[in-house]
Amino acid sequence: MFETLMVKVLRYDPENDAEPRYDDFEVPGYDNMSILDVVMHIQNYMDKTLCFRASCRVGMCGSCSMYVNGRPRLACRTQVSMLKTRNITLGPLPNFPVIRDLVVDMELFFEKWKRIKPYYMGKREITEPVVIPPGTGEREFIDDMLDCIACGACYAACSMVSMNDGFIGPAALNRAYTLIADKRDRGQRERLRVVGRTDGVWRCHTQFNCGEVCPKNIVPTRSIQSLKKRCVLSKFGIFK
Amino acid sequence: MDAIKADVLILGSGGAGLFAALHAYERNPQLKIILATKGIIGKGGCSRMVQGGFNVVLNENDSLEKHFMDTLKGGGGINNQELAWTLVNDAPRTVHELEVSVGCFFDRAEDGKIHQKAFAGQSFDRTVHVADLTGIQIISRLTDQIFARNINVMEETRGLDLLTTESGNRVVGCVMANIRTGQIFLVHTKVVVVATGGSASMFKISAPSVDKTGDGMAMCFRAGAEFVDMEMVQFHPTGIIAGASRLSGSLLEEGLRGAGARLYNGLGERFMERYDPERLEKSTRDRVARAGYMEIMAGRGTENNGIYLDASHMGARFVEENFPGMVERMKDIGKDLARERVEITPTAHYQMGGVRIEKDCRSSLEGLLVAGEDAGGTHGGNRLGGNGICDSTVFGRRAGDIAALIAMEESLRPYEEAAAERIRMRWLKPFTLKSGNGVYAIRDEMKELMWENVGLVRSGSKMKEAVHRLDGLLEEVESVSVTNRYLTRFNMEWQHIIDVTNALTVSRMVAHSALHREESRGAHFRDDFPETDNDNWLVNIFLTKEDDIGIALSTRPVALIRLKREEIGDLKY
Amino acid sequence: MNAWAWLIQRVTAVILLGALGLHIVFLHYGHGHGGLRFDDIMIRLSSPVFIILDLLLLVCGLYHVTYGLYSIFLDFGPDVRSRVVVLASLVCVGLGLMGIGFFSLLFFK
Repeated sequence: MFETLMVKVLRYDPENDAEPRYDDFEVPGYDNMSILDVVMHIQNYMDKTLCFRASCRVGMCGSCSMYVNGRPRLACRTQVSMLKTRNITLGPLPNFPVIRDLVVDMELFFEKWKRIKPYYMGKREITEPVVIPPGTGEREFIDDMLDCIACGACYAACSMVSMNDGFIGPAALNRAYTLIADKRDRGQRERLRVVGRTDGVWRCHTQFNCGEVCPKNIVPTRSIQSLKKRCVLSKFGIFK
Repeated sequence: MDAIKADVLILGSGGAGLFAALHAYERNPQLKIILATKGIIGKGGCSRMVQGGFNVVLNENDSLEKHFMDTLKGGGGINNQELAWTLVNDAPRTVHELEVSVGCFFDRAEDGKIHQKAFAGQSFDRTVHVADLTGIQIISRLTDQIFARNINVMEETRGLDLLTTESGNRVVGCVMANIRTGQIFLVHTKVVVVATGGSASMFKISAPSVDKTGDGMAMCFRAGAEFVDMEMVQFHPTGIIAGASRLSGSLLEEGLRGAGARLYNGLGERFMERYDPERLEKSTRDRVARAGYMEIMAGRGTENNGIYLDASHMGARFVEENFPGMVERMKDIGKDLARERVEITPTAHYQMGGVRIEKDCRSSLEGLLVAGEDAGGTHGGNRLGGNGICDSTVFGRRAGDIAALIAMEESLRPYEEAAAERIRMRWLKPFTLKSGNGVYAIRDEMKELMWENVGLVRSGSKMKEAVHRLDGLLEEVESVSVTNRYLTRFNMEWQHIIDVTNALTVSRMVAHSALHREESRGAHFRDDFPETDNDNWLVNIFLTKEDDIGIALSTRPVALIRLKREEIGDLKY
Repeated sequence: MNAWAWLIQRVTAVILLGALGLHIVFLHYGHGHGGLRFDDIMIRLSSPVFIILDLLLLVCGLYHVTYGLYSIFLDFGPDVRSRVVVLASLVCVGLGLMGIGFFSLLFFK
């Protein structure tokens, strides 16, 4: 375990700073230290003006996602020991506008999330919890994809998003899949229309960046490929 | 000060806040509903962190009476019986709504029906879940439903203080702060629903998210609302030990014990045999937590001041399949939950006490509804695992319904501009002062003090010391300044000053109330009064603000509306 | 529209896999002597099999390339006006090339 960590943190206040800068901090390390521990230590005891988001600290809320040594990660689920170096560089998530320091503006991200109608719309004839024995395949791989905590890491890693922030993005498309494939939901057609637009599924070129960085081990590429298939099938009047 | 008008203002976006917004909207979509949250919507708080599940009577072999009795037994007999009954009675329709309307998909049993697993302290396997990450599903799906409706969501916006009428018996609005811009404004509304959760983070080792600092409770206290059972703080028996990392204190869920995990002290003894020979590790949280604590205090702890939890005998595959979230988190700190024993510690988890409410969530102040952890009484002296998310969602729904009704009947009452200004000046003080101790030292001292003096094993002398020192700390935090007086945008230090002020306010209530109860019951254990005294103490302790920051306590016997005195005496808890 | 275009991209890809493969094979084999001569091509292009193979290659290849280029262009998030201009240009060029190809193949003498 490293005794002292050499931490660089990107500081930027768009309203007051002409340009971003890196501040250097020497942080005393300890066993089981996570990146969240690092930024909390810096903010509490070294530079109180630093800002970042955090809540649950156990990888369930997705608030603390940031750019750590060149990768979007959850700060709380990134152990310093995992990085195998004492040199740590922290920055805000790429592909998001910066509010200040490590806090990014998630408005566009959530606007896209809302665009695909992320709310369940049950089929009217369903009045009781549906009976689905496990292993029948009726749920496809929806239940794995439902683990998404909307942390933004996939969106930050996606090169398609970085080229074009009009692209709906992996997180929203993944959520769209969980509803489009859900036999209980009645909004399949309208959602397929939304994701089938030019800024939807077709902009995914299966680079798999999203799957590589997802802290919940979700691979949105899989969902998106399934949606492409469903879009094509829908043209033939087949709605699975 | 900028003022925004609303019909309903909801503070908090956990299980209670989200459901309240949905139900209020359902009642009347024309209402202007504001849902304000300290973080990003749906991400803050602890509903989301629920691992285990949701207790509910669904099976025909189960019964509301059984769930009710379990809740009362767990609560040490001082539960508000009307609230407890409402809890178990409304749970089935709440779970139904979560599946059929909100879109949750709970784990299924072999026959395709909703699976219910075993949880400690219950007479029937009735806990509904999604693997070991139930909260994420419930909160995510509720949040998505918010997006379908015309509900005004204000993120990173926190309540500073409630505005009341001059006589003080009615809430008419709330002075709020926009964390991103630093701007302070007020919401002028007909009804406020406070659903911001508790403040167990006031203890050194605690489970809640870092943003849970009792804001709602503190605001209600300052506004003059009546509280109940504040001495009752639940310590969860199995918190992770991860050294100095903030991960310490986070939970390994109860389902592990429900499924058969065992606890051992540093000497390798299965110590629960001495504390609850009948139920062993499946005993209620208060017993198991206290047992663990006492073993550690007696010098029989592990090298990191904990005890061992061993789930390996249940089979690695069983553990990995049923508790995947936990197995992964333990891997972060280099431990294999499925194959080896791990060190754990009791950790402050939940507040059973809170604002005193009726079953429709009305508090002692007009225009103020409270739902979820910040309300008190439902769980008495100790909460059953699985009843927490049940509580938030059940009472959140009710609060939403009632809030809408109130909003439709009432009109906006005038507020005093001067009072709003006073509140604004009070919270901006850190920007005007020139010096003062850093807030983090005060926070750290509060946590240490609460853990040592108002923790799992209490005594009169230590609690008196705590009461005295907490007053001092509250005074100190009032004169703390921020380092950068020109930084208003996302100033975390300022937010922490407000957090610590609120946490200290709640800590005082807990300490005063704990000192008052001279017996041991549920989660409240005193070594100077170790027995339960049903003759003198089958009461609830009520608390209100007196003058500026004084605390007035009173006791009232438990209202025995469903269980008679003799039956309570028979409750084995 | 997007779905159809994408589907045809995949279909032309499969066809090209076969057609290109055959084309390369025929370029190098099937004529016995050192290299393809004009006479060989004259013979080949009087047979419907070769004409169809080449037409297939032409149409599918042009479609695939045009869609591919347009897709990459779309990845940059251009505004509606740019999209129209580029698509029109690509289609014109594509159709033009296709015309030349058709003409060459069918009226080869």
